Order: sequence, then C-alpha cells, then structure tokens
Amino acid sequence: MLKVEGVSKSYRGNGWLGGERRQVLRRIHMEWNKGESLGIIGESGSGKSTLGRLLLGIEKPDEGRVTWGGRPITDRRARRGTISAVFQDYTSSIHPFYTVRQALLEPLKLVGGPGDARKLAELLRQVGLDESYLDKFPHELSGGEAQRVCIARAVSSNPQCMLLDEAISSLDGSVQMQVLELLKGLKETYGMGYIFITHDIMAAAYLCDRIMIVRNGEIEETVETSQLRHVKTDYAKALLRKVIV
Amino acid sequence: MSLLEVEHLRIWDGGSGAVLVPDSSFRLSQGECLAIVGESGSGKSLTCKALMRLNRPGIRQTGRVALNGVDLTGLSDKEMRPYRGKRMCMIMQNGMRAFDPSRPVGAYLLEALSLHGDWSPSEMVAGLSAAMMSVGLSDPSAVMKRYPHELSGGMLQRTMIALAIVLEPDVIIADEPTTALDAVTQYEVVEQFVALRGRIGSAIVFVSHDLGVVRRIADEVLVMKDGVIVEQGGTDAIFGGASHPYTRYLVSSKEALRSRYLQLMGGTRIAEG
Repeated sequence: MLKVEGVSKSYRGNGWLGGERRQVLRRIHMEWNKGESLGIIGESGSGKSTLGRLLLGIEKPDEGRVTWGGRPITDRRARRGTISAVFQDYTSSIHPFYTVRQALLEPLKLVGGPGDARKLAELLRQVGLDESYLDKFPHELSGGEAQRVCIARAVSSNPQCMLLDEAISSLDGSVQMQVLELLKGLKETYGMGYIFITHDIMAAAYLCDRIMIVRNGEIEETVETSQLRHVKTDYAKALLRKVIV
Repeated sequence: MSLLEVEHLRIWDGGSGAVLVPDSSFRLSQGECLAIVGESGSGKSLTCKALMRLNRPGIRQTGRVALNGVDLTGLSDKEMRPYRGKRMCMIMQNGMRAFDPSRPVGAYLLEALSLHGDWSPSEMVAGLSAAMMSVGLSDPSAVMKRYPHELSGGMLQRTMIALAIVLEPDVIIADEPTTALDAVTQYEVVEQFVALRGRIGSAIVFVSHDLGVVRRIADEVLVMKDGVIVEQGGTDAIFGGASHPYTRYLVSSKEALRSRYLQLMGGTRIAEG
C-alpha cells in the first residue's frame, strides 16, 4: 500500500554554526500494508520523525520515492483520506481559538464528509468522549482529552492508516494506557492500521504487529513483534535490553 | 535524627488562596532514595521546590523543612544561599533550560563550583573532568566548551549529575530527570543515578511518574494525588501490595504493557536487578 523506495533525506545545518548538510535518512526501503500496525522505534536523532514526515507526504525526499497505491504521496489528491497524523504536542495540534467542534469539522470539510451533530457525536464516542466536549476550547481539556480529540480528528476522514509520532509520550502513564487501549479498540473494530513512531519500545510491542528499528538514518532491523526476542543485530539486542520494565 | 525532615508542609497560591498541598510530612535518611510518584498536577514538583524554597513568589508555604536539624523555612535568602546548590542540589527535567544558554557549559559549571567551595581553578577543572568521565562523558574539555544547545538532553543531564558528584550535596533533588529523554538515554541516566548513590553518600529525592524507573532506583516511595500523600512505604511493599486504591491503580496501569513485553521477551526480567 504505502511504499518507500530508496529514500534519502538531508538537512542543511542551521544557525551560524551551520553550513554542512546532515544526512538524516539513507536509502530507506520499507512497506506498510493495509490494516497493519507497524512500530518504528529508535533513539532521538535516529531519523524516525523525519521518516514519518516523508510518509505523510508533508516533506519531499532528496532521492527515492514514497508512494500510496503507486501514486506519489506528496500528491495531495492521492493522499486524501488515506493517511492522517497525530503528533506528540497535543497542546499545539488544535488551534487555540477553535472549539472541539470546529477542530473536528475542519478535516470533514476537506474530505467533503457529513458534518452534522450526529457525526461529531459519533466521532467523540469512538474516542471515549461525548457531545459535552463539542463547545470546549483546547485549554479546557486535559492532556489525555486533547489527544483523544486529535485522534477523533484523525479518524474523521476515514483514513486507512494513522501515523502517530510520539503521540503518547507526553501523557501520564495511566493515560498512555487508555490511549493505547483506544487505538487497539479502533484497530479491532474498524480495522484501523497504524504507523506508530516512538522511543517507547514497550508501547510499540503492545500495539504493533511488526517493529522496525531505525538507527542513524538507516533501518537496522525489522522484526515481527512475536519474534522480538529473536532479533539478530547486536544493536537491536542492546536496545531491547535497555527497556526499563 | 533524619537528614531531611518535612513536617506539615502546606503550599498554597497566595493570589487565589487555593491550597495546592494541604499537609505533607515525610523524612529522608542519609544515603536513602525516596521517590515521589503521582500524575501530572499531583504536587510533586511543588513539594520539591518547596524543600529549597524555589517556588515562584506567588506560591506560599508553611511548615517545617529541616536539614540536619536546621529549619530552612526561617532562613533569610542570604542564609539560604549555601543550602541551594551546595547542600541541596537540584536536577531538573529539562537540561536545556537548567543551563545558562548564553555561555559555554564549562563557564557555568565553574561559576557554580566557585560559589560553593574554595577550590582553585585547576582543582575545579580536574574535579569536574574526573566526574564527567565517570558519568560517561568521555571528552570533558570538549563538552565544557560547548553551549547547552549544542549538547543532547542526555549529555546535559549527565553534566548535571557530574556537577552533583563534585559538590557532594547532602540531598539531591531530581525532578523528572529522565522524562525528557529517549528510552536508551533514560536507561543510561538511571544507571548513572544508581552509580551515584554508591559513590557519594547523598540522599536522593527522585520525582517521577515512570514507575519502572522508580522501581529500579528507590528505597522508599511516596504516592501523591491532588496534593495529598495517599501512601508511603518501601518500594517492594508499594509494588508488591499497595493498600491505597490509587497506588494500586498507578501500579496496575502499565502492568498490561509490562507483562506483554516480558512475555514477548521470553519472561526474562530485563534491566532489573
């Protein structure tokens, strides 16, 4: 479905120290299949978030291509209704002057779906909230509630894939668990597929069917979650050993 | 006598009058590590800052905070000075904001040391270098020349720990020191804290919402909810058989994650010991 072929990406160094280009991703090949939950894990600076932005088509690779069903993902029409995103910082993900209603209506208008009260109530119900939230502003929501609204918004365009970039990392432990259960429920009920980018290996192992380990801009190893204990590379073994359970 | 005694600590907002921490009491013995756990807004950070009287001016506090029998709450700012930094050292969540962004890290470290001791400059550099090497910063002089924004979060936290090693404070207050770090760096910094306990006899107040980390490092655990200490006990007792429902809820909340991971990894208890 979503295919990455030979993708590289570099950025110019920034600030007065800059100048040298930094290679963030090197000739990445990967695939995401319909209905699949794929975890992308790695340390800070490994390039996993850059890979996420390329998968979303909001950035272009220097070389190689990212395609959805054979069409380039950077083409907005090809992308529509296919993949949506939830990011780490839920406070800045919703326009501060928008109510939950407005925030939910925005993507619905884009895909031309129905934006009536029933649809909105249904969306909120899917993420464990109710209609009483419709007229609230982002600052009136807790972190977990705001992230649920972001997920409701991501679901609203009926995407086949939801890309989550450290989406649970800034939530409290118990709230993290609630959001993970919510994602699991959406997967079981609606067949939602995920690309789950995180440094939280335990969370990835909980939600995902397959795990891809990224290191210094390259894919170190990809493994079925059920085979996690049989990873081959020394780096992957060390990474899994460093999980604080 | 305990090293640090907190009795009837009450913290409230001077403006609105809202009580944030109604009545907290706890003790810390020499060399002990006390973890304060709880969710966002439970008053963990407020409590920590109150120990050093570092809450912003609008936040008021009463009660007794005694270090080696000296009540800190009655001291003037000037008398408080040696307690902040030298006797009690704070390691914050965000290393980037803990350092002065306009100067190289080394300049900041040397200034901190010169304020708190009478070392000669060469002694300070030597002491710092040795401490930085011991926390895994292999090239101390290069790190000291860098500005905070040029270093990673993990490196800044290690640098802070190195500073604490040199200062040898009585108490180290670490407020979510590993929360902003990725899993691997988090593991390494936690290991540094464990090693730190063996190296200098400092007592540690370790604030975290990550119970995995707490289980690894703490002797005693204090559970806070909405400003109130709901339970307090030994780490094994808290994780093994907490009596308060909220503690049980916290401990159980990520149990599904943990047991799934342990099951996937073949039941081996990784990173524990």
